[in-house]
Amino acid sequence: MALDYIKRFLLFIVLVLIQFFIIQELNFGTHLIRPMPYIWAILVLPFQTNRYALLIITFATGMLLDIFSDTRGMNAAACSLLAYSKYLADTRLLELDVLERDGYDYLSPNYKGWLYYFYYTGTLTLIHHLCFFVLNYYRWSALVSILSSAVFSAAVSLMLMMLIRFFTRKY
Amino acid sequence: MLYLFRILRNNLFTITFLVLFFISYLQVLQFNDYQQTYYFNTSKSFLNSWDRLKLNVTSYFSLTHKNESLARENTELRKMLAANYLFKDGKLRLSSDSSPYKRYHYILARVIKSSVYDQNNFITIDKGKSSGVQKGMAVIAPNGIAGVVYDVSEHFAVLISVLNTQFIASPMIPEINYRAGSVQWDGKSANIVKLKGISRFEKLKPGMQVYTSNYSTLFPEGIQIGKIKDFKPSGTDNFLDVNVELSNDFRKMDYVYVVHDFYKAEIDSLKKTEVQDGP
Repeated sequence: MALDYIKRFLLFIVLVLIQFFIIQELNFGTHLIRPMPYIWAILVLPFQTNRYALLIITFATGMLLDIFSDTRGMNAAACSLLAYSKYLADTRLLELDVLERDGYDYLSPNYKGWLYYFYYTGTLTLIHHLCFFVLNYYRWSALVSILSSAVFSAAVSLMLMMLIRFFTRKY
Repeated sequence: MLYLFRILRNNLFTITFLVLFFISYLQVLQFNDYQQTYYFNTSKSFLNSWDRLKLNVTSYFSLTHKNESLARENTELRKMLAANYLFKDGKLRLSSDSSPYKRYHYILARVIKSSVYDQNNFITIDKGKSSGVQKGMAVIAPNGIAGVVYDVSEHFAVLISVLNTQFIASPMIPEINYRAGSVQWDGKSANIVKLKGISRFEKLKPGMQVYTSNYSTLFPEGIQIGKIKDFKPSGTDNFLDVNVELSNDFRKMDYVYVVHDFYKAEIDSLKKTEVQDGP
C-alpha cells in the first residue's frame, strides 16, 4: 500500500518535471499546439480517493507547475476543474461497483471498449485544456484560437498520454 | 438558518471546488493590473537556481547560433569604428571622450528563462538591482528589441517580452519616413508582430525595415524590430493590417543588453508637467 502511494507520488513528480523540462520546450511550429500530458497523473487517481484530497492534490499540482512556468493560476484553475469533472464523471457515468468488483481502480479500456475509454479520457482532457486556454488567451476576440488550441492540444496530449500509459500501465 | 447550514454541508464539495477555482482565477486576473508584482517575488530565488542549472545544460546545444549572432553584431560594431573613416581636412576632429553627453549605458545580461508559447510571455535575466537594473528599462538583444523590465529583485529581473499582449513599442519606417502607430503582439506566432494604426495611404512595401522610433523614450532610436512581411486593408476602418517579421528569434535568445537611459527621469518629469499644464 505504501509502495503504491510512493509510486503515485513519483508519477506526479516525474510528469510535472517532464512537462516543465521537455514538453514546454518543444517547438511544434505553431502556437496552437501546447500539450499538457501531465494530467495523466490526475486521470489515473483511484476512484476511491477522498474527493477533497482529489481537489487539493490537483490544485497543488497545477499550482506547482504555475510557479515553475509563470502561468499564474491557469494550470491550477484548469486542474481543479478537471478534478471536479472527473469526480462527477466517475460517480455519474461509470458503474463503480462493477469496476471495483473487477479490481480496477481507474478506468481501463477493458471496461466498455476503447471507444468509451477515449470518450472519457478525451472529454476530461478537453475540459482541462479549454479552461487553460480561455484563461491563457483571456479575450473573446481570440475565440477561434482558443477553440482550435484546445482541440489540437488535447489531441496531441491524448497521444502523449497513451504513450505514457504504454510505459506505466497496470491493465 | 439550519436549512442554510444543511445546504452548505450537502454542497461542501462543490463549494470547495469553487473556492479553489476562484483563488486561481484571481491570480490570473492579477496580471491585468500592470503594476502588480506579487507573483514574481514569491520564490524566484529558489527557482532561478533551477533555471540556471537548466541553462547550463541546454546552452551547449545552440552555441553555433549564438556565435553567429555575436559575430554578426561584432561586424556591425566594427563598421562603426572611427578607424574606418577618412578625415581629409584637419577641421573635423574626432573626440573619443564624450562621457558628459553620454545618454545610454548598456548592462550585459544573460537570459536564463524565456517562454514563447504563452499569451503573456516573460523573460528572466540574471542581472538585478545590484547591477543597476531598474523597473521600466528597455532590453535589446543583438538582433533587435527584446522587452521591458517588469520586476527586479536583487540579482534577477523579469522582463515583459515583445511576445506579450501587454507590450507596446513605437515603430518608425525610415524608407517612407513614417513614425506613428504602435507595435503589438497578437498572440498567434512567435515571430510575427502587428503594426497598428498605420494609415491605408502609406506606401508600404514588403521587406521594409522597421526600427524603434525616436518619438518614444522607451527604446533608444533605431533599434531593429523586424521587416514588413505582408499587409492588407483591415476592412473595418482606414488602417492597414500589417505583419512584421521579428528580427530577433525569441526561442534562441541568450545575451541581452539592458538599456540605462541617463536622461529618462528628466524627460519623464517634463512629460508629467506637460500633462498637468495641458488643457
